[in-house]
Amino acid sequence: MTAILAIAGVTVRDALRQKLAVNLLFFALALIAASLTVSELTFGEQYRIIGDLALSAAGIFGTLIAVFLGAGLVAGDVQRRTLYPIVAKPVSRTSYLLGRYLGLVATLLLNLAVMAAATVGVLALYRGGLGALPGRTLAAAFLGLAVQLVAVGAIAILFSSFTNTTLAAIFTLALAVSGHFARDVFVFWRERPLLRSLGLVLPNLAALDFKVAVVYEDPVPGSQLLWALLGGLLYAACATSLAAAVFARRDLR
Amino acid sequence: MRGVVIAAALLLALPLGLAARRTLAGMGVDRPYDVRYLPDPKSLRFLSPGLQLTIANSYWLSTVQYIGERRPRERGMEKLFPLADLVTTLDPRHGYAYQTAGIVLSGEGRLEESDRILRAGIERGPGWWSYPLYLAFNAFFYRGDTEAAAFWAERAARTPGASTNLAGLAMTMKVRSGSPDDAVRLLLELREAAGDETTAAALAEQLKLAVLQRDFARLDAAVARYREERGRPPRALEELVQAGLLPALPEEPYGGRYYLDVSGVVHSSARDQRFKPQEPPRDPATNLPVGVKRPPAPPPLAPSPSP
Repeated sequence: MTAILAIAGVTVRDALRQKLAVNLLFFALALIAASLTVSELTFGEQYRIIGDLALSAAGIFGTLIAVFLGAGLVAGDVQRRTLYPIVAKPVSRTSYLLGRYLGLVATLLLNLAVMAAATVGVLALYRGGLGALPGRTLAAAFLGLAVQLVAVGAIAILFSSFTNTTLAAIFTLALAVSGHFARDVFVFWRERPLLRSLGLVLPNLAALDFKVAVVYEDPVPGSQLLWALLGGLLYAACATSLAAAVFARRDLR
Repeated sequence: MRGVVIAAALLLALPLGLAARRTLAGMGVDRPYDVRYLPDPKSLRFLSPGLQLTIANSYWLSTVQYIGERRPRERGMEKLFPLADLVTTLDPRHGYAYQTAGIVLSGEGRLEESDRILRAGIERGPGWWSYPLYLAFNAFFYRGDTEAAAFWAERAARTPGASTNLAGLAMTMKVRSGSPDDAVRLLLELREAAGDETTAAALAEQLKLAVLQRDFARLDAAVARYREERGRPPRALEELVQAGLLPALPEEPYGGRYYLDVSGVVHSSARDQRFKPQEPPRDPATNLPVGVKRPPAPPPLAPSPSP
């Protein structure tokens, strides 16, 4: 456990030093702040523009950070050969992978917390106070976003465990985008159970997207939120387990 | 050295400014705001997973720019319906898109498109009571179809949250053939429901036209009465006030004044437009305006007992 936490700590420190991740976070924050100005271009429904733009920026840039950081973690260590001194120590490959993944999740949640604070700040500025915001719905939206990033990070680690950084990033991005089609797969192949089961392979990111609820200030039912969060976390757990199994059998010579 | 730099900067400033101006002109900055290409709404809805709301908002901002263009006559309003349709297909709950597009399109004389977007708002939108009220206005004011107007006004009155004045308005339309005063009342109700400046401005323009028609009707009636009583038309409108047929001359809504021609017909110096309602398109099967259902037939009377 100590080894896992140590590797996670190193991963967070490495990630915070990476220019790409910091730049993406900067752009997300700039877009969130700009949503106040962009909303001036409309009339009547400025709140919807600010809420949507800020949450979209957090979602898109959070996903990009998850993809590019996650894809390079294991594959990058293999390519740079920095993995060998670690596995030569009494640290199992699973512990190494879990440490890397936990570090990635901690970094993503830290980034998301910064973006969430900026979003809430901008919305509170527009509405004239925190009390005027749909607090529970906003919390549900950011919880959903957090689990989305946890799932995308797990997919990135899975691909990173058996291929190179570039391919892992491409595969992860493709699966993250297709995750928003998961519901459509179930609807489209309603009559064909075999093809319909393909929907289970995709991460159901659409179920974790509560932007519309924030924009229209709809309450998110507790059971719907819990099932969606549970589904996302279980998907991430499956992907990480698969990554550990693949990585344990990988020939590193 | 500094002088050379300043001189070079000054020498370059003129061609640079010219190039920038030509480039911007080529990009159409001097032309009225327009949208070049609009994708198919259903395809875009399918191809934008997770971002439908964001794309809808982006097109909504384009719609606002399109409506707010200061020189709309140079460009026309052909793209407004496709824009509103795109926004509402991607985000069916976007209440303002139906409302604003509906009222601006009717103001531009694009009645069919106005009706279509308002009906879409009733079918798939948030179901605001202003949508059927706008449809009532289109039917009543532009088409002179009081039957259809009464149907939509009644529907608006029955929508939850509707203004309490609507029931009376619907009843008025049912029992009367419709008068310019009703159009003004309807517009005042619509203006209350607008909730945003752009729609309110579009309504204010239509309100001016309705007030003009109301004033023409009142002045025509007073002139006709004067002619009946005196056997000749008045020489000027002021005579109507002196004869006690009008309390005062109405204020012309476009900033001009009302006057009489030699044959005794009232005109406006600013916008001399007498409104001629269009005949609404009718369903050949029922002979009712399109979209209006025939009310259920009353139950047959019981045969009266024979004496």
